[in-house]
Amino acid sequence: MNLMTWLMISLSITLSTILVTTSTHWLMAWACLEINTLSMTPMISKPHHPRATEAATKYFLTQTLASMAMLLAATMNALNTSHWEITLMLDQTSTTIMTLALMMKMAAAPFHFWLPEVTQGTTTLTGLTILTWQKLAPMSLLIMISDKTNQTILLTTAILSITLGGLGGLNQTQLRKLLAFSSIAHTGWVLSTLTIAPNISTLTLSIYILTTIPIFIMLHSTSSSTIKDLGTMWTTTPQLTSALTLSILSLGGLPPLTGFMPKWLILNKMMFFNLTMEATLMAIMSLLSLYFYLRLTYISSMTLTPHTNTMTMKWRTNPKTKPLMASTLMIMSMLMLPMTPSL
Amino acid sequence: MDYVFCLVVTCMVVGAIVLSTTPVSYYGVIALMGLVFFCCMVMVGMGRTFIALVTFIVYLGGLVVVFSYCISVEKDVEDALKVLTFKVFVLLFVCVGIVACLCIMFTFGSGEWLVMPSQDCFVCVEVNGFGVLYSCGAVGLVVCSWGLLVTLFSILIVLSWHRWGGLRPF
Amino acid sequence: MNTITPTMTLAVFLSLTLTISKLFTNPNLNYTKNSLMTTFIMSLVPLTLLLNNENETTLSTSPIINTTTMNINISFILDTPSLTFIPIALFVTWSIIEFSVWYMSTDPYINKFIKYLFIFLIAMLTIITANNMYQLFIGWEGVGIMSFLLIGWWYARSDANTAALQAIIYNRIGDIGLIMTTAWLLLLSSMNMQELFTQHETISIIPLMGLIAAATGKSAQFGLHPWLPAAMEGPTPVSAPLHSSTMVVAGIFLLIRLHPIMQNNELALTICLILGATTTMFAAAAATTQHDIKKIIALSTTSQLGLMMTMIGLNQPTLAFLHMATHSFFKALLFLCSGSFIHNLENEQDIRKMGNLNKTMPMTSSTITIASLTLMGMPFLSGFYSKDTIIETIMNSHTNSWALIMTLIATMFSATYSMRIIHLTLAGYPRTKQNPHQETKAPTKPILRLTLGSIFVGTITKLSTLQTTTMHTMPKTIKLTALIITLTGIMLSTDLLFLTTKQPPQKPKTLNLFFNQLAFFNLLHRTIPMKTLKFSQQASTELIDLWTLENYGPKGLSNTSIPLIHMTTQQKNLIKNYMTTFTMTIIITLMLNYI
Repeated sequence: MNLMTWLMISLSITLSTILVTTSTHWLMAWACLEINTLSMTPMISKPHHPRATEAATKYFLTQTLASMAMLLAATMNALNTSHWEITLMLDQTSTTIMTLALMMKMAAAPFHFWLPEVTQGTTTLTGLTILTWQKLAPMSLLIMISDKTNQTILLTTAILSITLGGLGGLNQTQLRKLLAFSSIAHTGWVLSTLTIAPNISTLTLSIYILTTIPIFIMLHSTSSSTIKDLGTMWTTTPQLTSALTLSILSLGGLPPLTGFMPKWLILNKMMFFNLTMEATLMAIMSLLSLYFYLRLTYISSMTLTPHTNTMTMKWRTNPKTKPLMASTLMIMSMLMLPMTPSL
Repeated sequence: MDYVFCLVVTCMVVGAIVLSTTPVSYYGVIALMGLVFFCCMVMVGMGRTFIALVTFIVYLGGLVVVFSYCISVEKDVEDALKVLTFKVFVLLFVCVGIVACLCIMFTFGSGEWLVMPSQDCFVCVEVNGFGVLYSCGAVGLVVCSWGLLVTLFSILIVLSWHRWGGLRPF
Repeated sequence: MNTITPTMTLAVFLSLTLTISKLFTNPNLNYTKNSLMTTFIMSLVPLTLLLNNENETTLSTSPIINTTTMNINISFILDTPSLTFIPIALFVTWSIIEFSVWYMSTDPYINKFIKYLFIFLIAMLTIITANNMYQLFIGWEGVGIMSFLLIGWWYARSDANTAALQAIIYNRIGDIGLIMTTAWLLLLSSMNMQELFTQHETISIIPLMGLIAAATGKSAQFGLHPWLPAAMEGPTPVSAPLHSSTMVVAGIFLLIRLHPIMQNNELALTICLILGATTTMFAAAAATTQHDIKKIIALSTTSQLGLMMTMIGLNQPTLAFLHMATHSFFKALLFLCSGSFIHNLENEQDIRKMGNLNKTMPMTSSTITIASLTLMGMPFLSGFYSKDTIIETIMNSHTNSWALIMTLIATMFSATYSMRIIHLTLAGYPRTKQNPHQETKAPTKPILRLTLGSIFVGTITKLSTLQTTTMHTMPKTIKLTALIITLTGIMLSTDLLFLTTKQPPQKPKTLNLFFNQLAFFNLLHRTIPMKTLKFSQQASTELIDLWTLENYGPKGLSNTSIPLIHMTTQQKNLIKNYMTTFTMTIIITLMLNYI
């Protein structure tokens, strides 16, 4: 892929997402989402590997299905209420279909199957884009219709996402798949307070993105793709190893780190709205995710991978470019908790 | 009018079922063509004559390409026929079931359930719609054309025409 | 005039403390002996004043801890029991320390040993003079911990360690009672004795039961008795103060001291009576079955303590105190004599291996005979004055005849085991090869002093105003009961010994075994900890650790989550299934919406 192509595609990805977030017309939103999907497909299939092509196909098909359902819902809404305003989804049926379609785009629980495979199929950075940037557009649409959506569906999906994200990640050795499952679990957290407090959901998503980006950048810079690779990471970048550990713990939501903030706020808000059972269930289920996060930290920094004495260590020359963005984001992903009152 | 409408819709459903169950791709293409035809028929019935015509022509054009592609890919017709014998029964069963259902619906008077639009909808409003698109909806038009461009572009990239030529990894 | 009593008493305390500190710098043990003698003579001055004036002095400092509800201060009470018992304790300890300087002369830590004995004595004096429950408790625990250290003096021997542990554990059981009483008094009454005695009408049975439990533990009454014979594992100079004037009488002394709050409570008194009668009978019977000379004497102590307890139960604390006083002398004497035997026979304690010692050790033999006769209640020796009075009082009281019979049988048994000691150790022929040493001069002096004490103390108390005899008139048989019973015991035991020494050896009867093993309490020492520890080990490892936690913790988690993981990862890369899932979900949701 040459530079011009790449530039054009990334431009349309960015622009379409921004347009989705600003548009108030369903047709515009749909068209921009389609553009987004279509321009993401060549990005995914960039390595020209059968696995990548498969991932691109899957991505395209699922997103198209979701867009179609979305269009159907918008049309039904327009048929019944004769207008296309996004914020005025008055029809119950079309709102439900719309919610589910957007959830499929966000890879929430019953429609999450495509996400790990697509993420695994592409390169690390494209995976990062799918896990972070691609969630913004459907998320913004969901927030726009958040006062009409059915809370039962959202909470069911949230709990299912957290559970399935945790369970799916337990059996994984591939890092990208693992992070995709972690993303599914986080989507669950995002969806849980969508109706009762959309601002907390936004905060959760942004902090998730903030925490995931440095991890992915680290994985990319050390070209680690499996858990096994983390075990030998200390030979090349000892500093990154400890930073990675802390970032992952932050992703898991352990108290002194930033990742604790959204969980704290969400649980607090849910308690406030008398959703104690659901909150407890979510907190317990997120322990499953925590387990594989801990496994990652254990392997990356707490133990030595088994090797013989004569085995040569991995080595590399010093990288030319310093990961400035990764280090900034990493610090943010660890130390932002004291800023909670100002957010 | 209602009966014609119902017949067309039934044919549309049958076409969709054939499309979803056929094992041989060029049968599927034919079924798809029929489906498109019946869809356009419905649209004509509802009074959207111009857009029905445009859609049909566009689909026909696209389907010619798909059809030729299918013919070129197709190799084992004999094997497919064996599979088809089983599928035909399923297909027939489903079709008969659907037709029976429709008959029951009509005889027991739930016809209004199927015929949704009232007579007011059959007014020709499409001229107004396109006018809006070209005058006020300029941004929408730009977005649409941009979307079409991106589609074309990404297909070209996926197929990587400039680098690989006819040699594709799949 | 009045200041002399507290001054002299406090001087006694001070002098004892100074002696201890002096031992750190000056290891001359003669000095300690002399200082004890001086303190004894000093302590006679308040006694004399007491006998003259019958006055009672209370000495309180200003409060150490000042609280709104209660003040804690140091307070001494100097009344008849305390001022009488201080010289006795000092006299007995003086003799014992002089004896132990000879007995323990080869011990490398003899200085420490003497210091321990001094602290032991000071703790006892603290109990005797305590005027509030705190001070009493401090003395009480001091006596307990010093007895633990002294019994376990030869700590290299496991028997000595076990005995020390037994002593402290059994005492601790009793201490629960004392702590409970103290807490109860703290809440509902007063800690100060005088204030407490004015409220004697309002005391319920709960603190009294605590007091009885404390006395049972400390004075080794039936139920908590096994530690006392076991305490014989300590050195003989430890057993002597422990059993005569210092440790075991503290329990009885507690009841005597707090008798005013008890005297109106029939239930508590009855419990004391029954407990005392049981103990005296049981211990006397057990003493007749033992072969270890020190254990026989120890069990005779228990028996005499039971007698004192019976007196408490009869509402006669004065008589109990009198017996306590006379008992101190002859019991210390018995221990010193047995210590002398044991030392001179090269650590032989079994009376069956002794015999004919009156030829080799005539001096000690004569003193032990005198002591035994005093114990039996031979007329006009000191034991007679207390014991005879006790039995007369029991005979004349309206108590239940069971307790009376028990006491009489115990008296008879006391004659029996005393005769047994005399017969088996002193008379006859040596039954094994002995290497007796010569009697030396060093232990003779304290023994002689105590002999004089055990002969004359009774008479002295008779002459002084200390004794309050019952002024009943009674038939001759009742007056002579004690003597008759004792003589019967002497004759029967003599006959029995003549018969049994000629018989072929026989298997011991069950009853014999029962008393020899002290009602099998020793079995519990091992079995209770063993069973509880075994049970808790099984419960904690097998039930909780290996089963519950393992199955519901790690294994349970993995067993439940593995099927779930397999279930959720069933869907493998099939695009058709994704679509189906999506469509089905939409349909189901819509249906649910409309339902």
